[in-house]
Amino acid sequence: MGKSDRVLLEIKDLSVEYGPVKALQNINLTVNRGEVIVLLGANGAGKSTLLNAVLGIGPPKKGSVFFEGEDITTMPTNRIVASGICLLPEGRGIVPQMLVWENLQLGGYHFKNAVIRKDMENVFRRFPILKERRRQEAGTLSGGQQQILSIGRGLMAKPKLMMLDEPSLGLAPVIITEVFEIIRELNRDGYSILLSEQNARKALQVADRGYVFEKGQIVLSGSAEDLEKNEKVHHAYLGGHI
Amino acid sequence: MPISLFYFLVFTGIFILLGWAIYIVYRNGQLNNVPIAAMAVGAYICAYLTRELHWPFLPALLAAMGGGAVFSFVPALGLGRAPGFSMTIATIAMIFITQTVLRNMAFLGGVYGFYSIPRVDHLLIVTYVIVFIVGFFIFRLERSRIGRAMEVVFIDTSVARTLKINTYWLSVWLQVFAGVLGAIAGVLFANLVRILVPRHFSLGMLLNIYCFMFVGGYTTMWGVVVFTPILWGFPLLLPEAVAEWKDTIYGLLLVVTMLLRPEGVISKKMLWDIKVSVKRFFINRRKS
Amino acid sequence: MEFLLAQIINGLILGGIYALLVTGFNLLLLEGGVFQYAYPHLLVLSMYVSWLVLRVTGNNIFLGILAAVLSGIVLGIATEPIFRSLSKRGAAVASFIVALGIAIIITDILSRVINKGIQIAFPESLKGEKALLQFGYAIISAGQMLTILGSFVAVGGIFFILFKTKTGRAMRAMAQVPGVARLIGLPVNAMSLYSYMLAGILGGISSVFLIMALGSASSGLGNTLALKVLAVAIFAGLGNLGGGLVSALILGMAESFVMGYMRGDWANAVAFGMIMIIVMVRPRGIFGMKA
Repeated sequence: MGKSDRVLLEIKDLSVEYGPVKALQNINLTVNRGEVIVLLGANGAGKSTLLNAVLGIGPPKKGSVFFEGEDITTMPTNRIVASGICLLPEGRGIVPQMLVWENLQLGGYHFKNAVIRKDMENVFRRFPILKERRRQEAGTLSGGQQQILSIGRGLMAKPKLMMLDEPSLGLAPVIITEVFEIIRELNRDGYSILLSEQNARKALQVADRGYVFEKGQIVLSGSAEDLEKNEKVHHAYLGGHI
Repeated sequence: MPISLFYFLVFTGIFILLGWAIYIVYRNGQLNNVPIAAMAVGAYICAYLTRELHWPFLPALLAAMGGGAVFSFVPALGLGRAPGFSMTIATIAMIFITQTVLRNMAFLGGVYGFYSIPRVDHLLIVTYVIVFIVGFFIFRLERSRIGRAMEVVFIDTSVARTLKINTYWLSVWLQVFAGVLGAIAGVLFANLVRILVPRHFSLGMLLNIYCFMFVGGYTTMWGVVVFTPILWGFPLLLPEAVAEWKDTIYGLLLVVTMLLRPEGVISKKMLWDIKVSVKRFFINRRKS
Repeated sequence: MEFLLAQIINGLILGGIYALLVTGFNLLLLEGGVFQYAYPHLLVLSMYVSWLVLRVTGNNIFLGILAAVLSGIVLGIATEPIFRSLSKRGAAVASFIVALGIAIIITDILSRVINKGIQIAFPESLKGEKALLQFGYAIISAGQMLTILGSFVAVGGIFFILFKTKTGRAMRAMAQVPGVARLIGLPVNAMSLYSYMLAGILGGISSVFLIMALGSASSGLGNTLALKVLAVAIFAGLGNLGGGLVSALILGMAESFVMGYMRGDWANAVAFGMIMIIVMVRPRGIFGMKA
């Protein structure tokens, strides 16, 4: 496989500024096919800004974003999603007053109804709980179920790359384990994953590689094992000794 | 003094008072139109007292101010916690209700109007003395504790609550103040035009004031002061065929200002810049 | 009894027209956060366009109606670019002020240019005054029947689109969670344009019904209607689509009865008095606001 086939997402020299505030500075990052990449860093370090910037959302930026070799820097968000990148927003972002199946339908908005129906069956097969609750208002689901709905909705977009923004936020530890199990499964089924996460220990267990963000810059990157052993990462994000 | 100049100057004073009345409540984050209705109330109270009961100007003015205060206090109690747009529309509704009631008040002239209202001596001077006093009061108010509280409420109501600002009573008192200002404007108006017709106190009047305030700038009290004479005055200088389109010109100005300079022409930053450059100018002169 | 029936029919007609307008107004408020005060003014403009077409074509009713509906759509879409930047900034008050500016301009132009500012009158044939049903002195004319049924069908159609189609669901998602709608790849710009189009269709249709109900139009009609529509919307709770329908009927009925039993002058005052009381007692409307 040539390099261009192997690389799924490539971010080159990306900078994002909110007026005088530099939210991201000269970010270089790649996601290869089949990889799980984790973005580590404190709140406000720029992880969410980066995920949004990939989708073309947010303030004006310098640099460029390539997906499957195509420049998507200035593409409208809905076309980027249609080309195969989906984002599961921070806080899950389900539509609370709509039914579960309606939420799923929205995920596949750019497909024909027949395709959506088929994909929804696949999602239901993967997550039977959603099938059970499909006629329930999404706001009545538990936090964990909402996260599963969010993942299901992401799958409806038939993505090649799934970006998850803080999937473990506000969930009970048991549920977090479950969510990471799902991420691992998705990866096994061929989905590439870009994950922003505060729970570094769990994230590094599923990840292939990782990037550490500080004040809008990448200060460290490497394989998950290396990061896990790294003194600084340990100190800042894992807490305590090896 | 030419009579047209006299009318222009007194009208400008009246509109500045009304502009400030809308402005002061809007600084608190609420677009309240009670001043126009209160203006009608003040105008009719003053007209009735001076013509029918032969009261002198000053007591009539005070009575009208009291009337304006009561008139705006009652709805303010209910509107103090109304969300922004509800207040805007409810107070526009109040303008219409006031008009309807006035139209049906036979002893106030009804639709035919209330005529031959006596005019106070030296109306122009009286007007600008009042404008100056009110202006000074607002100037001080904005630099007081209340003024800073309003600033916080305008930016973020929930932050204001955490700072223990009682947003409800702040809003109520500002609305009453605005009502009093409206009533004063009404008294001056009655003295100027000397014929009151309910149709005067309409949406059209409100739209004029909106135009002066939003084009001039709603973040400082000076926007109204500078732009009321300009916007009220320039149609008077235009040839009649163009001046006829005053409303359309005002409408266009409103749209263009909100799209291109949302804070209005005179913003806080602009005032600051002017202050700095004036200071610099004097410092440089002293050096040379 | 017959008098009562006549008032009920009038109330249904007014209620139906208000329902169309308040739905269109709420749609714009929900989708773009735009407080479109000038929405009824656009509709009045459509009435004038229709009148002009009727004059030019020698009272061709079909073309007159077509002109009303089409101009409604065109005018609706034409206002989208004006509000676009405001809606992206989330500047609701500014959108209200801009709408006011547009309303002033439309009112001013109508009061000067078309028909020299004199009230325009529509041909009798458009009113559909042929009696369809008769109960004693109370008559339901073909035009009234068409208005009542037509507004129910049109509102029903919009609600079907919003609640039973994929696009409608996407529009509702955009109203409920505006930030998220974009993140999950919904085409928000297209959808916003779509909402202006739907509101335009509703405006165009209601302009036809108003032509039939009133038989005339004047430049001041925009402001009167605007206040009624806002009154209905606030009465129900801003952005509450279902509540808006109920409130439209309540207010239509109330207005019709006040007009029937009191001097016409007071009808508006009563309607506005109700608004004052509702806003003061229940600031968020009787059915509650929707974000």
